[in-house]
Amino acid sequence: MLDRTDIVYYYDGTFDGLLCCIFASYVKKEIPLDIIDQNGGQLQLFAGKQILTEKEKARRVACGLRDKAGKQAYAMLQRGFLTCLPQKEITLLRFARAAFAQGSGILRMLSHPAVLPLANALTHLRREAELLTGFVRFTEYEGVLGSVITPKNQVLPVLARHFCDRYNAEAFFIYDRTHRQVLLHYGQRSEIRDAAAMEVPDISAEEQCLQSLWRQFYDTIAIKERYNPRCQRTHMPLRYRDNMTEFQTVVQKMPPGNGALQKRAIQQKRYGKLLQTENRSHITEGDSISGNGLYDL
Amino acid sequence: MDIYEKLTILADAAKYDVACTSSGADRRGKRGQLGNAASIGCCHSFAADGRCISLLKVLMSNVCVYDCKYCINRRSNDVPRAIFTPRELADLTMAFYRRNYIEGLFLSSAVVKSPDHTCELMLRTLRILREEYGFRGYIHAKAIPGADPILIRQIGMMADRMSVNIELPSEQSLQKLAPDKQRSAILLPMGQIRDGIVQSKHELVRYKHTPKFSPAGQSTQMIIGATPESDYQILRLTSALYQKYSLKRVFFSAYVPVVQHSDLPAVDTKPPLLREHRLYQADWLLRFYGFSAEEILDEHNPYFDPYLDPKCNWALRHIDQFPVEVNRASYEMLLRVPGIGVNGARKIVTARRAGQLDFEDLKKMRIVLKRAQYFLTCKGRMMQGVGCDPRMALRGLLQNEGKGQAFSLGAQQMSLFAPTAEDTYQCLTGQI
Repeated sequence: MLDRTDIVYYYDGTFDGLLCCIFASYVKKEIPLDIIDQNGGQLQLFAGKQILTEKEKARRVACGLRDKAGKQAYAMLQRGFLTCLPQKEITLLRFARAAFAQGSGILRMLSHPAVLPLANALTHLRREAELLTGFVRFTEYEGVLGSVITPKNQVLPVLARHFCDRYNAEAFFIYDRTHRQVLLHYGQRSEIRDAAAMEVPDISAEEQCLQSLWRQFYDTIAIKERYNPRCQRTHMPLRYRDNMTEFQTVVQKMPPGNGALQKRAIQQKRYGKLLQTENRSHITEGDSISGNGLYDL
Repeated sequence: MDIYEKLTILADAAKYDVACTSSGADRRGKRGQLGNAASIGCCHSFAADGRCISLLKVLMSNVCVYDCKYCINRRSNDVPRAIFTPRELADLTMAFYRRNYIEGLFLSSAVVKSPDHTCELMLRTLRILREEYGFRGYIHAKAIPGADPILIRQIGMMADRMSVNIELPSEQSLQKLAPDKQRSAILLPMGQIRDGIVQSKHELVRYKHTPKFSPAGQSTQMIIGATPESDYQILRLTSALYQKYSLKRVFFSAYVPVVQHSDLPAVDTKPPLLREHRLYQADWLLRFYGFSAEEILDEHNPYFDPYLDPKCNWALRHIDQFPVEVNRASYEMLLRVPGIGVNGARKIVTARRAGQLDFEDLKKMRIVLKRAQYFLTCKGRMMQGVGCDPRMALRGLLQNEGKGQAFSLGAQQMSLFAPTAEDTYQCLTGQI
């Protein structure tokens, strides 16, 4: 019989580690109360079992799941690991057990209690990645394109395919400040690395010129008779705007012909109010990227 | 004049164009070249009016030889004029694209000197982008009516999507407001593009690497609310355009009064946003839900109901076909249930293969029952406390907005009142 225990599994935070937790859960015939990343810094209140990550066990679970429930179910498990679902590990364990029990039919059981939360979390991940394919803004630093994002889910592996294909001839990076990871791409190669902070040089006058062109285009293209901030917010939630060129308020030099320094006070007036009410705790952590002059030119 | 001023003038002149989508073209990246295109398209930003910014939407030039009364670029209007050089525009597109600001270029133009001259300018820009810079992003180009078919064909070989503006819903209106334009001159390139696309598809079957002609199809747009056509006329025209010219999209643009003229609505008229919203709803019903124009409106009801969306309206008039059983109804019938869309219907069809569905399951699958509850049964039963009665459904549909009690239930009387809060809301949040 299955035991629903009050035991907690601790694992190393990797996907293979999670697969080993699934393995352990079958060996001991128990479903843990929770599965916790030992690097997460949480206090270890419950009696816990340390689950060691072993490649062979992980491989067996992965192969087993693919055989039993199909590639698609395994892909859901992999993707699910990237989501920001609270207690995603235990949700994934429940899903894996259901998939082993039901086979590939699990993909159709959209309202099954083990599938539903995962399916919803995956939708969230997919939606966020879709939005970000559009909302990522690159800035050129001496020939290298760089971008900062603050997503809720770990979208970099999802974004990588799109951007590496599109900008295959460029050298670029996308820094995920929430998860402190960076996607690097140069010379047809790309990788995702952990990075605690990201230092970037100041941007050139030419780059400032282009940014002001884009802001000008952005402001001009709106029809003022149809002004509709609610619709705008529906499609582009406020939390994305911190990292987008068109919403960044800077003092900058206008392109030649116009000469003088100009403040972009209009936009500040228009969006300042909205931005103040937003929860910005995730960027006031004092990490080096937010205070390095990228936004305070 | 520097590029900053040019961009300001020419983006401002292009902002009333609505077809800013980047969908329909699928093209993987190529080693060493910039760009790709995905058929679902991509929105890069949303302007303060809530409209998607996907492409760098500009005019090649706003110097125009025509004098269309509704248009801000007409010859007799005193506005600053500018022309991009092909090189400037191509460079700007590349710079914006590299920074992921845009998905590509939307190139339209006023008519400089002659349609041929204008097309040549546009063609030069596209040549620089595609041939010299190896740009693989999305390009939407307007065909200028009256231009040489050879030029239009060449533009189509460079662009992903082409469009010809039909401008106004009827020939009389066109004669009245755009005396320089002929309906036949508009339909001619439209037909040419259609034939080009068909021919290109045939050739592709035989020769894999033959260049594609306008692979993402063609679209058009018309102005709503500047002229007296009824919704039914507009919808029939839309439907005919889809059938006869195999268009991908027909766009509607609520007329924003920019000019004082006796033939046009007064300058302080609000753009008819609700009407535009209803037309888009009906347009979706035509394209994705298997409705025909005659089912949505007819001679006796030539205008949309301001309270009820077209699908609810249809369902209430055909209440004898409801309620439908979730576990047995065909996909086509599920699509006709108000509140269930393409995604919802697909989810139901998938999930019911795994077992009988109940209202609880539908809720878990995030299918919104606000409207659908009046038209559905699960395992032979309606939702608790709901009956399939048109009066009850109507009351419920309106009560959902918290306004139901205020209306009397006679359908004829309804149209005397102002639109409901929900309609106003939808038309406010609706994206075009």
